[in-house]
This record gives sequence, C-alpha cells and structure tokens, in this order.
Amino acid sequence: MTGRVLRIELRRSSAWPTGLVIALLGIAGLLSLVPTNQDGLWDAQWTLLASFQRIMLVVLWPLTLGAGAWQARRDRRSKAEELLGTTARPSWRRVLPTAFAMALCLVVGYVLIFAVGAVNVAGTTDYFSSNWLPVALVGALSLVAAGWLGLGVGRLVPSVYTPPVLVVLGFLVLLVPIQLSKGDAPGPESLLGPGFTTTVREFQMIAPAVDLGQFVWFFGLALGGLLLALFGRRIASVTAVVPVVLALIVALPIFSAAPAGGVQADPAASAEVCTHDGGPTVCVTASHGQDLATLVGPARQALAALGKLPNPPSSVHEVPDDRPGPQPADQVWFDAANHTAGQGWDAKSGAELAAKILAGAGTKPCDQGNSMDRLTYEVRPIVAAWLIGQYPAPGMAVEDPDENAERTALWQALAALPKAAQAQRVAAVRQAGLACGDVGAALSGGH
Amino acid sequence: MGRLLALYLRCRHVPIAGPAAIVATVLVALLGDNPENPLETVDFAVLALALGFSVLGNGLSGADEQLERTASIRWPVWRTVHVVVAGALLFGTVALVSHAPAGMLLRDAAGFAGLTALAAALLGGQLSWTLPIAWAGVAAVVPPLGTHSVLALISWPAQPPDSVAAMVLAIVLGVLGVACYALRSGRTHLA
Repeated sequence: MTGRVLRIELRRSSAWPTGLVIALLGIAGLLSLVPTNQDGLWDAQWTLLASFQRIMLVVLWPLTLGAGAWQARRDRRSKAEELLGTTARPSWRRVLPTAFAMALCLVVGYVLIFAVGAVNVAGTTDYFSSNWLPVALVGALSLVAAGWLGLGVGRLVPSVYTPPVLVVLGFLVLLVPIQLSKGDAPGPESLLGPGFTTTVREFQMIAPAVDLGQFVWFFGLALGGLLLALFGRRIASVTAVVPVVLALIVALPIFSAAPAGGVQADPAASAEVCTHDGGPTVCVTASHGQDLATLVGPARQALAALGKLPNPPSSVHEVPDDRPGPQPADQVWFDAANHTAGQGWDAKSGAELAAKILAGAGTKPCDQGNSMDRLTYEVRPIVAAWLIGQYPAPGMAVEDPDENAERTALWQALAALPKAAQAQRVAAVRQAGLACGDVGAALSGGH
Repeated sequence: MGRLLALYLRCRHVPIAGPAAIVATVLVALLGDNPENPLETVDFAVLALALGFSVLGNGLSGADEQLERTASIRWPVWRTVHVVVAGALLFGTVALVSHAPAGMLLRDAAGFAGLTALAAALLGGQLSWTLPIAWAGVAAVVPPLGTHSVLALISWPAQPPDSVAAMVLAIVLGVLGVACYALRSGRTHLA
C-alpha cells in the first residue's frame, strides 16, 4: 500500500520536477565554468568536484526550500483540503509519502550533478580517494533537509506567499557567511551552511570533523523539518525544535575541532609516486600520477644538465606548496603549480619542461606566487639558460622590452665571466635557493 | 472606469499584495544597504526587487481566466499596464531606500518585470516568483569574477549600470516577458 502511494507521489507530485530543476541548474553551474577555463576549480579531482557541488548549494538550497513550501500547499491549491480532512486517516500518513518522494528525487538530482561532473574528473585524474564521499553525502542530506524544512514551513504557514519569501530568506541567510568571510576568518558557525565559503584546492580536503558535524546538523534539521511537515499546525509540531537544537548543540563543538574554514591538507593527494626503472628517481604527487611518464624524460635531461655543478642533485620531486622545507641538497624540487588539471604540465615541449625544472637551478621558490621579488623572478630563468646552454631558455623568452633588457644584462654579465666562475655563480644560486637566501646577490657574486 | 479599476485591482490581490510587496522590498533593501560595501548593497537591492516582484506576481493571474476573457476589455493593454506599473512602483521603492545605482535598479526592474510576467504566462501567477527569484539569487551569489561574457550574462542583475550585455539582456527579457503575458495571460491552474 505504502509502495503504491509512494509511486503515485513520485509520478504526480512536484517532487520529480524539483529534482530535475535542481539537477539542471547544478549541471549548468558546473558547465558555465568551462568556457571561462575555470573548470579546474572542480574537474581536477574528486574532492574538488564534491566540494564545488557544495558551493553551488548556496543557490540550490534556497530554491529547494521554496519547492518544499510549494509542495506543502498542494491540497489547498486543488481545493481538496476539506475533503481530505474528512478521511479517517491522520494527516501525517498522507504527508509521509510526499516527503519521501521529495527526498528521493532531490537525492537523485544531486547524484545526477555529480555524475555529469564525474565524467570530466575521470578523464583528468587517475588519483582516487574516498575523501569526496562524505562531502557529497552531506550535500545530498542538506538538500533533503531543505526540502523537508520547506514542506514543514509550508504546512505551518500555508500562504501563497510562503514559497517566495522562504526562498529569499534562504538566500539572505546563506549570503551572510559569504559576506562575513570577506572580512575576518569565518567562525565555526559558518560551517552550519550547506555550502563552503572557500574553494578547496587540489592538495586539500574537507576536515573529517567538519563532515561529521555537518552530517549531525543536517540530520537534525531534516528531522525537524519532517516533524513540522507531519504535524503541521498542531501543537505537536513544537517537537520539531528538539532535533534541531540537539543537532546544533552536538555539531558546534565538533566543528571547533577542525581547522578554521574546515579545510585541511590531504596527505594522500600529495604523496609521491616515483619511477622504479633503475634510472635517476623522478617523483610526482599522487594527484598528478598519470602525468609521471611525460615528466621522466625532461626531468632526467634536467638532472644531466645539473651534473655541471659540484654536488649535483640525483632526483626530481614534484612538490605542492605546503611541503615543508628546507629542500634537501640532493633533490630537485619542481613546483606542483606547473601542472594544469586535464592538460598536464604547463610546457609546450619536453625542452620547455626541462627548462622549467631547471629554473633557479632546480630549486622551488620559497615565497609563493605574487610575493616573489622581481630579481628572483628574473634570475631563475637565467640560471636555467646557463644550464641548458641556450639563452633565452626554451619557452622563457619575454615580450616586455624593459624586462628583456634587464634579463639580457644579467645574462651577459654571467656569460662574461670565466667558465669556472660561471659554474661557481650558478652553484651559489642553487645554494641560495635551497636556503631561501638572496638569489640575486648569489648570481652577482655578492653576499 | 473607476469601478472597473477597483474591481481589477481587487481581483489581482493588489490591496493586500501591494503594501506587502513594498514593506518586504524596503525591509530587504535596507537590511543590506551599506554605503561602505557596494557589493552587499547591490546584492540585497537585487534580492529586494525580486522579492517585490514575486509578491506582486501572484496577482498576475485572475481567479478564472475563461470568464475574464468574455469581458469586453482590451486585456493586452490592461495586462501590459499592470506589469509596467508594478515595475515602476518597485523601482521607485528600492531607489528611494537603497544606495545602489539608479540605472542598475531601473534595468533590473525592467528585466525582473519581464521574468515575472514570463513565469506567470508559462506557469501561472502562483509560480511567477520562480524565474525572478532564482535569477536574482544566482546573481547575488555568483562572485563578480572577471568580465567573461558568460558570467556577465549569468549575473546580469548585479552587473554595473554601464554593462551593455546586461542592459540588452534585461530589455530582451522585459519585452519578451511582457509580450508573452499580454498575449497569453497568466495560467490559472497548476496543481
């Protein structure tokens, strides 16, 4: 009997259109980043896809709230409320199948979004870990909570204006943590929202404590929404507050165990995958394991070029930004930022890739990104050019005439020295790079 | 004429929905009105406008469309004027209380009026809130990353007033929505 009612609800209620709209909006959200080449935000890894889908909940969640409230008015809308009220069954027996049909369709819609994204992710990376599973699970649960909460509020306030007002309220509530996160670091209460306020990077994951706390919170919220939907305007609906408050009391202390923002490093993604073919060792992060083969050749060329220096390094390691230093003297460190998901290493040819590995004589810059000072930025390709024996090094020519003039002056100053002194200077640059020292001074011979 | 107008307003729920829409719009617009944070001001103004339209939008379909059709009234004119006046009213309300640029509010009011009318024509007055609120919400949360045309179009309500793409899209939506609604009227039943 229940199965039959559920089947009818699945066919006839607004559950499946809601699930369909959620799925279409989510898929459109994923694909809208493709033309702007920002799909690396989600297609580089499974964890990224799951957490990006959670970010999109900031739109999907309020809309689901409204869909629930719309569904709650069905009997009244079709003017069947009084008629159904005369039946000898309690109203919760009628609401339960509706609520489950809605939950089922929302979960299917959420899974569909993930499935479409998964096609891209599967084509980009071979690295697979189960970190994404709890993130996706909590996302689907939070959507069910939104649907049931909407259903509950819709039964409590059966006005035609409830769905739109509820959606706007939902947007406002979810916007607040985003606005706050632009200022100071967000507090643990910002984790109560279904989405994350920050994107997760490739070598990061959502802290397990956050997953657990959010699971508890949304489970309580869903239960509260369901109780509200079942009891409607009767006094028993006060009990809906209990699971919500309990979940809140349990979840907040769990959140405080996680790092601020809820994101932590993923050791499995940055673990090393190395060659074992007898040649010099070349290692990449597990997350980029599928591109090890294309790195091996250029990396060994780079090692051969570094053989011109005293105490040359013997292995190449691709390292993510958060790998703690100092870099050992017998290793070449290659910044993982030189890899683009789905496209491989950021170099047009093996020679260019080798030149990139040789930048700074095989050291990874100690200051990240934009904070690298201009001289360090210019010295690194000069050293690569000397090691390769070709200026400018492949793929390292610059357009800007001023910058080009500065680099050429540096190159000529180095090339004017006797051969032995040149090698000494380059070795000094490598030493300075290893010790996070002044690379510019090392090249010019100063200290 | 006066009696006809009074009857029309009553069957379109204006005596209740009108003041309610204005109060709701003012509340939301004031909530986020922060001259030091233009982004927040714009996001809240956009949501306020959409909320106003969704409250008024319920009145875009009458109780019985077939019955109304029999009246010897130029319905397309009445419907067009209805949407335009609603848009002007909400634009004026938000422009009075919010620090968001007036040009942007005018553009958004035109676009949302069209979206509301379009949703009313396709789904009925009770669901006329879906399109404007969904799009306003998306615009409020999509970060203004870069100036790529796809993102600029997705977040058109939050684009600066001099954005040509957003202006064109708003005009297209406005004209298309009002035309659809004026010719088709709002669907009355959708269970």
